[in-house]
Amino acid sequence: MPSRQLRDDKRGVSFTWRTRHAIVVSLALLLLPILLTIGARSGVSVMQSSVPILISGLFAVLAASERVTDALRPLLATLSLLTGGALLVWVAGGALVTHLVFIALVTVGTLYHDWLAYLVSVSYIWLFYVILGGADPAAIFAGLATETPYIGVVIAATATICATTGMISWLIADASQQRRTELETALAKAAERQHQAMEIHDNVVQGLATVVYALEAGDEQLANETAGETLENAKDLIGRLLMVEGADLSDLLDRSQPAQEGDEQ
Amino acid sequence: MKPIVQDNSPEVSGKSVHDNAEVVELILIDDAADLRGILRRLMERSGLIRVVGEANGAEEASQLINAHEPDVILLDLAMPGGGALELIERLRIERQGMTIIVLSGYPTSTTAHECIERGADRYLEKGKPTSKLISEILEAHSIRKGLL
Repeated sequence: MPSRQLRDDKRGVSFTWRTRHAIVVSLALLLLPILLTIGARSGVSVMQSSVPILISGLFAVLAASERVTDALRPLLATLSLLTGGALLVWVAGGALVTHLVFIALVTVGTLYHDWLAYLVSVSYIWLFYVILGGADPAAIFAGLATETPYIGVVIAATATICATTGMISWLIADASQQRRTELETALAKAAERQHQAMEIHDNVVQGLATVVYALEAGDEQLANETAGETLENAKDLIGRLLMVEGADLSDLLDRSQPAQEGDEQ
Repeated sequence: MKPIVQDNSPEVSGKSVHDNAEVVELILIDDAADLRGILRRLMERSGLIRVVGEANGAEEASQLINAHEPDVILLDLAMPGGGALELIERLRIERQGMTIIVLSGYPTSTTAHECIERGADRYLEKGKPTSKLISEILEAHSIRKGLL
């Protein structure tokens, strides 16, 4: 299933995920006429190629369908892409360029950042190159014109490295994004604390300083007035600071020690 | 600075205050009008400081400073529209002889360093006794003038 980072909207599927899904499905659908064309030119009969092409197309259509669960759609799109890539190698007689395209398609599948799709991709490519390639090497490796032993293992390993690199880059990007989010949250909290400190300064400290200096000047009227205003400001400020949604008032009112009204002589 | 015409000040520590026997002209910059008024009364009562102007923000302060060219400015950091730190920095460049004192409600550790870096001579916390404020102001001014 798509990662938390990609599936974060109300339905669980983000705009980013939908965009990537659209790219993968479009690519899978685009492969179908190309496969038919190359197959026809290579002399592969329509009867021979139609069944696997239909399977690949069915995967793509199901992946595009909103009726299929979001958890299955990446898997279906990946299977369509991989089947298309495998067919491409087969109908082109194992030409070098088709192997490269297959490896590229495997890497495209990692766009989902989905471990299940990744594991299916890697398993698929090893199955194709090592098992099927070992059973019928001429159908898959003939176009490479090489006698290199274990060529299937080499190609499968290369595709695995490409796909794994894609997943690792996602993990790094995901960790960076998470760190960034944490930093942004910390900064927002710090800004909020600074804002509250400013409010305390403006509403309480300024008033108390005025009271101190008014008393020093012997201006009791100003001292009393300012003390009253400051008290009201402080109460208002505390009221606003306490208004936190979900806060448990009984916990807030449970003091660990009695309030201090000043140093007793 | 002008000669002192009276000296009924509270006890002000330090030799500079009484020995120099001159009145320091000061502009008060704070957006709290009551606080400005009471500080003005207390400082002028000492006979050592004459408040030649009051401003509630950086822009008004600039105009008053140009008009009166005071010896000292005493300013709060939090002002409508901000600009206190920029004012300190600009005045330090333009008016080397002017003493700049910050009088703030913020704890010293968090903002004092920044103010001194920008060019303030002293950083004082609001609520200190006036005698202490006056003593600090005069001492800082004497140092700025090279009298100590």
